[in-house]
Amino acid sequence: MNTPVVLENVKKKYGKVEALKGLSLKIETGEIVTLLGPNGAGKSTTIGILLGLVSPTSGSAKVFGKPPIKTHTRKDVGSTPQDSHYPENSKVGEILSVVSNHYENAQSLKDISERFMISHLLDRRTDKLSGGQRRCLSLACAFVGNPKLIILDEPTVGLDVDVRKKLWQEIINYKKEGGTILLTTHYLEEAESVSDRIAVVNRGTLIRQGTPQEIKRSFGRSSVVFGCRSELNFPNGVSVRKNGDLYTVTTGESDKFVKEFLRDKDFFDLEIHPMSLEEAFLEILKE
Amino acid sequence: MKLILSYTKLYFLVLLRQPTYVLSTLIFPSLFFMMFAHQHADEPVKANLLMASFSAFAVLGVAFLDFGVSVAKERGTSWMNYVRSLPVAPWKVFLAKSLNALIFSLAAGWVVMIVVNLTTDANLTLWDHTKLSFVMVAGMLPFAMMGYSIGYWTTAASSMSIANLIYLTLSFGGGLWIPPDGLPDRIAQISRYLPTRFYGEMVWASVLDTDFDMRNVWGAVIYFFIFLIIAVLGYRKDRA
Repeated sequence: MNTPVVLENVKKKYGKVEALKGLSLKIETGEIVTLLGPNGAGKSTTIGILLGLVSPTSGSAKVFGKPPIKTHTRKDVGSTPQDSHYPENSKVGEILSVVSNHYENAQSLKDISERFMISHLLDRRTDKLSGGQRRCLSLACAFVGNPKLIILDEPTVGLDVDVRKKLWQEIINYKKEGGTILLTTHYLEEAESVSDRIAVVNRGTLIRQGTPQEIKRSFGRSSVVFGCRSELNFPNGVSVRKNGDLYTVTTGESDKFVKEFLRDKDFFDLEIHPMSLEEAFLEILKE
Repeated sequence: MKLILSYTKLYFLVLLRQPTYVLSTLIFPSLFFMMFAHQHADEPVKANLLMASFSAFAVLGVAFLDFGVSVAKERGTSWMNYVRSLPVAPWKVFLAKSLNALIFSLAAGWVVMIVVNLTTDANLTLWDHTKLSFVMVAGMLPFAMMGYSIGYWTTAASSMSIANLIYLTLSFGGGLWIPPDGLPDRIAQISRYLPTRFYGEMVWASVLDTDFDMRNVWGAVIYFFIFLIIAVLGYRKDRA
């Protein structure tokens, strides 16, 4: 079978702005890959290309071996409407039924609506839904066709904890049945638990990829906080913030920093905090 | 095919639940007829002609609202982007929209025909009504393209007023409210070149049972292509 996603040296220019500067990414069958990066990194453009909404300026994008711009290619792909906007006056059941009609192996409306906790809302107008319910409908739209590849852009934004847990469960089940998923998220800690691989995107290129453990190791940071009244000359590779006598040092090697640099200094109130992956990530992008 | 019908049904239900749309497309033209034209429909022939004029006017409303305003409002919404990402060829969605407009324009035209028949001495046969319905719908094509042009070249906020301005001016100028020989001189001169006039001449010929003046058919065809090009350019601009 063809590889679900192959991007090779994809570039995309909007006028003078280069949104993607030669991005390559491959996703194998059954993989869950998370695209991670700050706003404007090129995540949305990448997804737009895979959904056939945007054509690359150069390079090649293939979904199951075919260009995603072709209608036929997308028979195997499911996704969500971006900000969960639906036609005025449409009802939940009508939207699900139209979307399911695009796919050959679609699930019944009853099943899909139960799985995403909207079975009691099928007759409700989409403009009368709460934000969370609207998000559930969007997710149901992505899964209803039983596609081989599901692309979810920021799927957990605006979801309450229950629904979020439910979504991760659905993603895990879907993977068990052989499905492939590409998602983007800011909730890295969560993505960590389900992703096989995290691909870090910044300024239009893939800067690093690996298992969540690998990414964590290479991005792992701690902040070392201490007070000191004398002048200090810090080694390279650490970033320092000073507030009065209080220093906050961010480093990937806190042990080494304490053992080799701080040991003979006249410090007080020492604290060491491991940074969350998100903080660490933002810190790295600043460097 | 299933997919086309599925979209048609969705768009149909969505419009049906919109009271302002139903009111302005189905009720407004007949109301207009009762207020301004009914008193002139005092002989069967005049009533027949006014029936043709006002059913054409009703169909125009659908063309401008359904293609113009709704396209402008839908453009660039995340739902439209989502539809573009689904495995459906764009022409199928386009066809569904057109089918839906066809249903509403037939309904709009027929409401006028029923009202005129009930309130005047109009004496068209069933066959005449059929012919009128056919010409009325076929003659809508240039205006569907005009609607799309408005839809792609205006914004969601401005589309309604621009569509209405063009819709009402063209309806008046083309002689759909007042017969062409009753129009003020200057307007009568311009009227001969308006797409609504070509449209009017065709629906009038269909109720008078006279032959089509090919000049009107060609005029409509030319307008169709001009606005097809403008609409396609707008569509491309929008996708870029």
